[in-house]
Amino acid sequence: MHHHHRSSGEFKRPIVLLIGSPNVGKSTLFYRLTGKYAWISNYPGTTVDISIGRAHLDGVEVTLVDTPGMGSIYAVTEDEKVSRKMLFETQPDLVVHVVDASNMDRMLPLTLLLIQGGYRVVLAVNAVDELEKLGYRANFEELERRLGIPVVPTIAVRGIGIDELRSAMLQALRGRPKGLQVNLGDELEDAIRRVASVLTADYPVSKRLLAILLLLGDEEALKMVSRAEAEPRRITALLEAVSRQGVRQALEYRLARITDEILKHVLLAVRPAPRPMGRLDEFLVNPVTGTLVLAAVLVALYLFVGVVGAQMVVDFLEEKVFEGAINPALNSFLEERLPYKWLYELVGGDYGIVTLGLRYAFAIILPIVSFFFIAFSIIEDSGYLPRLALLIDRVLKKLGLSGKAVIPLVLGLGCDTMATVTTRILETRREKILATLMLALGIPCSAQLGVVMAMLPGLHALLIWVLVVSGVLMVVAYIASKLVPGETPFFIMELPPLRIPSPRNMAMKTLVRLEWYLKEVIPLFVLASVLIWAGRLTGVFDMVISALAVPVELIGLPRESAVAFLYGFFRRDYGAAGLYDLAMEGLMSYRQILVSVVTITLFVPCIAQFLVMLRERGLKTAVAIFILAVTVAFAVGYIVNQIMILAGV
Amino acid sequence: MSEKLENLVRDLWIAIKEEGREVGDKELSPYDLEELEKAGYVRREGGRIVLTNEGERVGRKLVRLHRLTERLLSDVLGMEEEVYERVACRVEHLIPEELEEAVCTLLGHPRLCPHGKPIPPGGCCLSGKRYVETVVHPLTELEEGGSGRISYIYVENPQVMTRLMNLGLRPGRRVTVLKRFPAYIVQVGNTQVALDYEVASRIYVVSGPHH
Repeated sequence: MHHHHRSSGEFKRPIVLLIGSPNVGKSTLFYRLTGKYAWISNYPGTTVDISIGRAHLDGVEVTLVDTPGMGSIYAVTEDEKVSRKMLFETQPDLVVHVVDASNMDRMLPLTLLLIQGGYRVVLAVNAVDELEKLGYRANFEELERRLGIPVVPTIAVRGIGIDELRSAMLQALRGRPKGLQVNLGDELEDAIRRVASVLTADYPVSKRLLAILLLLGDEEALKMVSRAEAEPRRITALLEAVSRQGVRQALEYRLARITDEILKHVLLAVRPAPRPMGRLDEFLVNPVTGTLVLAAVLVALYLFVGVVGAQMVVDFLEEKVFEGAINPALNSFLEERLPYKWLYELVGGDYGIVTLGLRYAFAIILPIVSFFFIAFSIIEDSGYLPRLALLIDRVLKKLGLSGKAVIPLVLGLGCDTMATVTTRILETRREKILATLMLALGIPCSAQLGVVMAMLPGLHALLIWVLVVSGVLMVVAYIASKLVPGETPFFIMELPPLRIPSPRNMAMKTLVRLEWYLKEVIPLFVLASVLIWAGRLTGVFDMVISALAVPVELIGLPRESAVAFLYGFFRRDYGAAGLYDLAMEGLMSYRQILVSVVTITLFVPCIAQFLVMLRERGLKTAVAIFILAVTVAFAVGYIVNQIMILAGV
Repeated sequence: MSEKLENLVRDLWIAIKEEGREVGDKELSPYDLEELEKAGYVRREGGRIVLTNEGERVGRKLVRLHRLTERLLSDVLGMEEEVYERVACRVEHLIPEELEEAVCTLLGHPRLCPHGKPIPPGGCCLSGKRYVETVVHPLTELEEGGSGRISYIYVENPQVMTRLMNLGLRPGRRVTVLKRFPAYIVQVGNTQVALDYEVASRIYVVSGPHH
């Protein structure tokens, strides 16, 4: 057993890590324990988000960290690597392992390894109601006795078992690390002992677990040992000598056997399991009915976000609050008090930080994305997305993506910037690039959709727009999938049971997403206002506009629309909105409207999305996608224009 | 059940059921007898050892396996008598239930072991099955509703392997195919997992008896 050497002193709050596989209700438990508030932050050097909050355990305050999903001790995904690193480096005072009650058989092996790591471990067995629905009864006292650590059954979504968990955590914190020391079989135990005996330095994790990881060939563990040991070559020499053939299989096999043996005494099947696939499930994954459901979901999404959110709420905030009250008041105030025109234009005027940046952020985008995030949390929590992913996997494979990519693509209909961040869930680098490309090129965000819908003259034009944009998107994605190197995608996805989303959970998710949005995206709108202001003031814009006027006139649009295309980069829908104004003023024909709407949809993403692309995919890829989007947009605009001229429209 | 216990049940079945002998409770060590009783294979009746229903079923199965194994080793692998007798005693314990029918069919449902003793017939002999179906198949060859035990998983990508392991898809576990189209949906334990064809075709299962 190892001891914690905390340099920071006793008065610092204890650190508690929440560890567990994805989809076990870890985050819900986190919100229940912390009450409400969490800081979402990036783990240094990575793009993985972790949440940190404070929890009160009977007057003792602890720092609670919600780590990214981790299913086993072998770290493969970026998420798992971060969680493992935190387990090693934060020197947690307590680890709460959250497992799904219905899937204890595959999750308890990690609990056993955490105990071997010398951590204080509390096991939270979540969603025990689902286990009962499956026809089982569980004896948690027996599980506690066999594992030798506190076990707390919970139903996080309903807040059941949270108080019990709190007191179990407090008790564990006050005690010493304990728990079942497993016997991994003579051969493995012997190898572990030999490796552990040559580890002489101090480690934040038990030598036993470290030895196991070294035997598994874990690079992170080897790095740690090489740094800490005076003679690291002794270890590497020993590791070479000890046979490591099949260690992983042997370890997994033993842990699975031990787990099965424990569960034999814990789980009691009280009645036969229900039908494995319900009617609704069959309905959702059937290609015919499933497609109908998808269509219905998209229509409902449009009605909720596009009509209620984008039209009703936005109209009120935009016209009544900003245009009607704030902007005129601010402008007249500024005109009276500010002697400098350049300063006036920075804050107010037509493109100022308040009159444009904040108005745009709070009156247009925020309500739209709020509505979208609410809708998306329903879709997400109901378990619909994995069904949709499997339904559409074969289609997306043709474009080099796996079914999982449907999640960022649907999210893109709300906010392409956030969707670009969400491409992290995709397994391969190639998929991430392809999905980012599709989002940048042809998936219109809710803000842009709103204006496009309003602008298109009639159903006929709408249909042409949908066909052209989706057609171009498919063709470009197909060609790109042939050109971008990398592994072919694979599709493996857990199907959680379908359930009715809990309002509390939905509210939590929506709030967290909105908070992210406010912190990450709103500053970029302010920045956009400043850039527009600077661009206008210095005359750079005039130059870019004259340059853009060439392709714009080439695709048969009036010269004035070049302005809209430039501004479209700063605010994706403003490009469309600029065209909208031109159309309303009667400056564009039917043909020109259609050509311009198609072009602006395919045109480059907004500045926020571009910056996120830069961060997530790197400079080269982001710039390549940018150039591709501009080229494709104008090329398609040109072709559509020529065809329509030939057709005499 | 331990190998030793299996051998005891097998020998008792031969003595009592085949040879019609009475076996006294002094013929076994008190410890072994206690173990057998605890496992529910035998009970004592006035100084005699009697097989329970379960003991009879298990004993018959073990005799069948032992003699089938002898045939397999002598007929197919061409082992000498003194070799196959020794090997059979060890190999028979390793043959999973799923393979028993396959071995029997492969050998053409033999009635007698190489020593001329009868092999208790199994379901396959009675139905007169002529061809051995491949015992290990990729998951993709199972029908909807079909199930099997995972024998091995063959993927190069360690990421795929770890994802499968984390979801409980690992050798030894029983899987059921729920859907084959538009993607594979399989059930393992209480987890349902969607897989594409490529991944599903890399998971090899020994198809089990139909439930």
